[in-house]
Amino acid sequence: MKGTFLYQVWQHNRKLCYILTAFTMLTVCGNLLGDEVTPFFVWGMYSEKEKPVQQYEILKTTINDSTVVNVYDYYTTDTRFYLYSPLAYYKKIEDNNNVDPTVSFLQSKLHQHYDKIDFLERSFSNTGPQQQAFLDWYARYLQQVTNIPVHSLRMEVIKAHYTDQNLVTDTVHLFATWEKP
Amino acid sequence: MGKTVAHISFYTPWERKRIARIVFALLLGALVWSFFSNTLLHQLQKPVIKFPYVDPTYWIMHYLGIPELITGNFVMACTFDTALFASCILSFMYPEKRLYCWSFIILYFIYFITFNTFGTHHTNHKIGFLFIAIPFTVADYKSFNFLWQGLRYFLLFAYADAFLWKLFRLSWLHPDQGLLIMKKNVAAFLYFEPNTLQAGLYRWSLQHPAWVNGAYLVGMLLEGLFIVGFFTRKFDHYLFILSILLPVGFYLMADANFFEFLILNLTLINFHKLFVRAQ
Repeated sequence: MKGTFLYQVWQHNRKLCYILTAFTMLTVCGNLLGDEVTPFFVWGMYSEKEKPVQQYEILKTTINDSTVVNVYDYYTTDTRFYLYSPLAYYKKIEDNNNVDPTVSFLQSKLHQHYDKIDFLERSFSNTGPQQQAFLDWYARYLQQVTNIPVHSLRMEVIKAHYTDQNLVTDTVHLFATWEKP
Repeated sequence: MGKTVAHISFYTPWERKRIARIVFALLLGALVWSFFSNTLLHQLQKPVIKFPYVDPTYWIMHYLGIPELITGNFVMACTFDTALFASCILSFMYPEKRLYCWSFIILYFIYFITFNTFGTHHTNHKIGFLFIAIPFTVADYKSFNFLWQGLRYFLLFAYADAFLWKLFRLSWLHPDQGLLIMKKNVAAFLYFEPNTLQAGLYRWSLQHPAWVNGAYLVGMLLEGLFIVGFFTRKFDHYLFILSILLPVGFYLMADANFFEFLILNLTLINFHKLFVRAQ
């Protein structure tokens, strides 16, 4: 016991020991509950059982009807992240009847108690105006990253499946367009 | 927690200063990298779609309107980024001035939340940048040493926790778990970059799924090895190597970036030996 880390911290500085113990306890609680509250992280990456998928979706953006945005042309993963993830979330909102999936998730978990956090809804969800402003933002950000003046955008969804050897495209359909006002 | 601390010879204030310089130089490099990634707050072009999800910390930040306030005004965003760089540079130049460290931590915390919420995904890899500065916020060198050791435990916990989640969720028994993770994460890569060596590796993996599923299991077991670090420091140099190999595996198998977490690997290094050799 006397050789343990926390005991030695306790001997040195009780306040520091309380802080470290509280951090440890909250992190353990978060993990037991499976809920992440920053900075008490849950490191459950890739632990969820993956369900077999018939078709995978890939998002493709074309600038000015000529330049396809290939996120892999950008060497940093953060750039790729910002080019791909917000667009994917925008599509998720569209696919969810224009309701933020976080709202649907919370409503399914809380049922009638959802009303109690209703006043916070603007803090955790995207509403119509944000959704409408998204493509304007995406055009601005693409211009920032690509240095190409963006006049129009075409966003397509590619549906593809895997064979034993490769990825094969099944369908391509347009899901959003944007023109410079 | 382990009895290992009994064997620790504490870093001296002089060593602490040198470690601080290494840490803040790396953090400065990371900020410069963010600039070239177009992900500093003034480069985000006033983002609109946010993703606080069910994390109350993000809710509070959005309730207070902090991410919107900073990114919504170009001058404000430039000021914020300048302050973030300045706090990092000043912490590098004057590691003993704790005010600069605190400033960096507060500013980087805001950056971390804003980056994740407008990126619409809660990435955890940047948390290492935030936590690594914490030990330098205390005045006495003994508290610094305990916090530095605490960070080492945090690193060990992150990997051990990843192992335990996989173990208890039985994902290691799930058929084709590794292959399905790879398929989901590399579809875009195979579509956009079909003629690269990496795409060739993925196509080979599709034909040899046992290797990918095996790699998932090996990765999981390697994560489990970090539990050893709670009981002894003898294997820290092996854990150091493992904690470099694992992010390479995540990158190759799942196109996932976990490299920024590597900064916490500094807690596995014996700086006594390193500084003696340098002298």
